[in-house]
Amino acid sequence: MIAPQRLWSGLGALETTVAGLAWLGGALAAVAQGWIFPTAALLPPMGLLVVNLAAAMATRPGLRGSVPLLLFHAALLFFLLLLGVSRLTYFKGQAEVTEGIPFDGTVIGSESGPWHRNRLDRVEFAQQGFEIDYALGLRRGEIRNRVRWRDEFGEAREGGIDDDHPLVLEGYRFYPTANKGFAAVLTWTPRGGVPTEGSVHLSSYPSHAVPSIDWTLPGSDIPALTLLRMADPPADPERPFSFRLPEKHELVLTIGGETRALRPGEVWDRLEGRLEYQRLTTWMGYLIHYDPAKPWLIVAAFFAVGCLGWHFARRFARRDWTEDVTSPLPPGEG
Amino acid sequence: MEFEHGLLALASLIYGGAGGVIFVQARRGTPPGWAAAALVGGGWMIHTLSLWLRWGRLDHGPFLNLHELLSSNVWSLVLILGILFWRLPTVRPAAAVAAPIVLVMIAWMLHADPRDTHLPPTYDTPWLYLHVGFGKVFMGLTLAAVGVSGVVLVRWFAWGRRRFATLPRDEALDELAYRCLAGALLFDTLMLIAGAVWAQDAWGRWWNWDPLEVWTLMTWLLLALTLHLRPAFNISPPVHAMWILLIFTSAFLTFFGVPFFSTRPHQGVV
Ligand code: HEM
Repeated sequence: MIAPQRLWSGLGALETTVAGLAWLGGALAAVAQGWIFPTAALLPPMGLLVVNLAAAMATRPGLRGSVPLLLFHAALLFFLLLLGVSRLTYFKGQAEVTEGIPFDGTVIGSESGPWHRNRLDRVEFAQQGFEIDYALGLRRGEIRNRVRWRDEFGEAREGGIDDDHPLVLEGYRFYPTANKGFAAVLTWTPRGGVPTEGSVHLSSYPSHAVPSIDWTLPGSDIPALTLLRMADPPADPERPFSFRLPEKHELVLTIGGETRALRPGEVWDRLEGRLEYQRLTTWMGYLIHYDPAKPWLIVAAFFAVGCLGWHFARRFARRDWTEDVTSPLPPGEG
Repeated sequence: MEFEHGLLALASLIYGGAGGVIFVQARRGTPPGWAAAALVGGGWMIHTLSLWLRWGRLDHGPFLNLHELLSSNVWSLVLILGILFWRLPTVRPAAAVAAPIVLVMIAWMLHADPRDTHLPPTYDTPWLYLHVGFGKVFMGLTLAAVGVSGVVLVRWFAWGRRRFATLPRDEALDELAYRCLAGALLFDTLMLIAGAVWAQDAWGRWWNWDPLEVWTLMTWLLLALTLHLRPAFNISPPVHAMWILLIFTSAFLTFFGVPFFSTRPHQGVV
């Protein structure tokens, strides 16, 4: 049996640090090659480094001898633990929100840590349209996105967000993205049933010159292919333009092998029911990000850099740069 | 535009001349003198003018394509090494070890497509400028460490010992290289922090494991590893020098290799 004292100082040894860092580097290379998922690859070496750091802070004279160096490593330990908290509680997802229809907490694609409690259903906001200018060659400018939301005091608020300034609600950060386009608002009334109004999001524009979507009629498994035919498409690679709704357009629907072109307000009566094309509007794709550890990670990182600078400044001030450093060392220093 | 490229070609020519003078003086075993300093300074000022014209014309900094990355890094490397060798006359001949790397970058820059670039909306933030600025200081200090500790490696050979005989002894060079590396670690860390803040604002996440992020982290880990190898294993100056070379290679490939195969500094996020 190894005595706890010896085990502890072995874990805190610099050789363990070197081994841990080398292991982490190897794991990182595997991540870079896409061989392994980051969390699975990095957790074991990071765990070893956390134990190593804690043990070294308790036992290593080299660390305990310098206050800034000790504080730097403490900040590093705190940072690693915060990374763990971040992994356990984070949320990342995407949502598409139709202009004028409130966000209902539905996301398309998300991932989160095991301790994340989803509170997206408490978020209240609605998309109010957006403006984007494009330069020559379809080069996108900044997104100016209008939103209406309810703040933490229950007050209704209105304002703008953009590429760099998200809407933050309940700790979730909503960023507008280049994934956006046209949405068709439709009402479907199955024969003998009640009408449902909804919107279908046509594929992103202008990245798709002819936006389209495959969907199924609500409450059925009848596929409906929809595409937008525009007489005056707003996008033009030859000159600058602004994103806008096309003035003249038709929604071309193919249901059960039959195709119809509908203008806003027009109706298609079918055997299974009645489809009314109400109007064309827009949808915005949002990136949603939640990470409660983030502000603390930044604080720990800046604190660590400050301590590291302090340590080096103190260490290097002991001997002059221009003369002593480049001349032979006095015995016992280095 | 033509004028701006002409100035860059002229600056490159003068840098080439400066490199020639530095090598000739190293062959003779003498430190670079006023002629080399005047050529480096003159080339750098013309280079500055060329970069300034491009910046004014495109209304954004030179960091979007490979040509701009190489040009602005040559500019900052010349500046940082220039200051170092000006302030530390005893190690001035080490310029002959660092210069070939800068000259290769200049040749590469002249071959890279100088096409105009467009600033994506997510790049319009002060954090980007901080990120790029910290990265340049990091790279400059790492190259300085390579230059100084490279002398230790070159002195393994008889011809190297002859040419670099006037420089301080290996332990002293090793200490100086270590100091450069310590500064490099500070600025590398700051670069990572500023990059993460920028990425959070721009793309809604502070880290995404894109190739550039992974390789930058790898370089940072190598730096941490090297700083612990010294106290843990008491490594000798030549071994330390080889680690420094490895760090520089990793940083160099991250800066110029990853954008080379993924066309944009940060791929897929614009
Ligand atoms: C994760 C586990 C780590 C442990 C257990 C650890 C431990 C130590 C110890 C014991 C020392 C004192 C060396 C001596 O005896 O003189 C030291 C120094 C140092 N460590 Fe760490 N370290 C760790 C990670 C890191 C990391 C990730 C960095 C960042 C790059 C770092 C940067 C430094 C620096 C800059 C020094 C000062 C070296 C000097 O002044 O010569 N450490 N570390």
